[in-house]
Amino acid sequence: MTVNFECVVVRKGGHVILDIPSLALASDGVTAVLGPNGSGKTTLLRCAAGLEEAHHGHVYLAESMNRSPSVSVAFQSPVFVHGTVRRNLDLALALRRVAPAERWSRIERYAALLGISALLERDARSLSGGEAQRANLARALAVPADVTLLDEPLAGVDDPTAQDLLGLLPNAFRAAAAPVVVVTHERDEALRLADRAVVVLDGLVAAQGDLPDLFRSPPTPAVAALLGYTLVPVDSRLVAIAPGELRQGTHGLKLELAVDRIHDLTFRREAHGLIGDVRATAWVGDDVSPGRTIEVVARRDRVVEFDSNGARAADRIRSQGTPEPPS
Amino acid sequence: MEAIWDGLLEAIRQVASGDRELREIAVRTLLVSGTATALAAAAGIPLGLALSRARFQGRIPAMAVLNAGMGFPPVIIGLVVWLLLLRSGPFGDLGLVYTKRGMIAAQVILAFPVIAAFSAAAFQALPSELGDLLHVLGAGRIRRLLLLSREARLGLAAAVMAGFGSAVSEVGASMIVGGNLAGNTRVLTTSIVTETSRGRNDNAMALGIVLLGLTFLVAGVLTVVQQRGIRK
Repeated sequence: MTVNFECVVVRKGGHVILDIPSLALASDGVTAVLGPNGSGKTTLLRCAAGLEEAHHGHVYLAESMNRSPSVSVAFQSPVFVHGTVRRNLDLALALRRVAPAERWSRIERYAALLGISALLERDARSLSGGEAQRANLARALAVPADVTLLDEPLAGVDDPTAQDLLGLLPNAFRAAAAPVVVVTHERDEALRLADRAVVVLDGLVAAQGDLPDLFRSPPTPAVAALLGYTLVPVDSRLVAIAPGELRQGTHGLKLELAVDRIHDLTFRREAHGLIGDVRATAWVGDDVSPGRTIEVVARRDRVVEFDSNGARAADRIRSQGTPEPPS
Repeated sequence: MEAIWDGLLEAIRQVASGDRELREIAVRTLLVSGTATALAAAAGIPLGLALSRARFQGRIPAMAVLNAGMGFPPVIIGLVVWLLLLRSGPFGDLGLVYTKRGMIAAQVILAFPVIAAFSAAAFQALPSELGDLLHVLGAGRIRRLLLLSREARLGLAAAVMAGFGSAVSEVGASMIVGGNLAGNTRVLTTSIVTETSRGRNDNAMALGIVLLGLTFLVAGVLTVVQQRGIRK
């Protein structure tokens, strides 16, 4: 089921905060809507949910021009009515006119998938942040929908809970069977959860496509920066270096890093500093200390070049397969 | 001081003896003000919800009008309603002047802005995502109103209590629109004024005790509704 945006313009306070001439969102699988804070991605989600009125254009399901999308939503901040977690899930399913017997089985199933079976009889408003987010996601995924929309599903949870949810959510997505849209500003979250991405910058769709392809070959410097690339001016070009790819060595694109800080990790040593005016991070050996200027390199196949206008100068990415997310 | 004490004793005697006229006036007061409060709540609570969520340009002026409405002098409302309901007035054909229904109409106008403004504040205190979630899940307007009202019941009960208070305690509007007709439109507040003007302080005090008791009774019932199920 695809949510189509056609000539959609949303304004707030006289400013255009979303301008989408054409977009087909979430035909199947998991799509990440990726963008920095304030880029308009939550407005896009609210438009898809029918909660935001576009000043121009319209949002509709591909299969029916006349029907509002039957969507399910998990907002960034979990909200519950008075009562237990079970009552909250049951109410959501009842509002979607799910039969009582099926409601019970769906609640049990999705509670197990999100790890909240033991919390079903707890007062929903007494849950901790992580528990509440699990219940929030379980409710959104348990509800039958044409499209499931999740706004920053891991916001406000601690790292162990986030890692646990990153492991659990793919199974829950498969169980829900509906296309899922995950709104996030976290590159790693998108890489772990989604197959495709729509990159939103300043209210515009800056890029869209399969996530590994976008990651390997960002079309613009702004998209590259959002995906964690380090952008370094070299001569008249702008060189984008994939995250985690700068290191001490001899082969590849050579750059000079003025080290101002060392971060000793358990297994690797991380040097922070400046390449020209650009802040960068590189993996270095034990002999590097703050105050030194060292030579670092990036593998040529992990570098994308843009000309002075921000257009792709050359695509040097030749590696195949999904890149490792930076650790 | 002795006169006050004697008046109080007489009042207690009258209340304890179940004076028929006193009982009728009390029941009439409860009926008129209770009906007015119920009607004002039926209109004011949905309006409060709409104002709390709507984003139209006139929202703030509308809220300002409601807030100003909480301070409307009852006697002015009474005068306006009386002029409208007079035989020669635009609603004269309804025949509501000097009737309990006319008094209810005046008290609705007094209680409505109180209930609507407090309701809007109560709904605004809820997270906006809750209404959005219910909307997305397919809850219609009535279902949303009921579900959100349950969530906002602390504030809504306070709104209804304040609305009832403004209706039951006013005297000017009931006096002008109802005419204080014995056995027909006389309520506790208008009776107190009448008995005081006649110098029958004991009767006035008896009526005052009943009015206070009535106010406590209604507030008590609403407080039980308000606090029921609140987590300790």
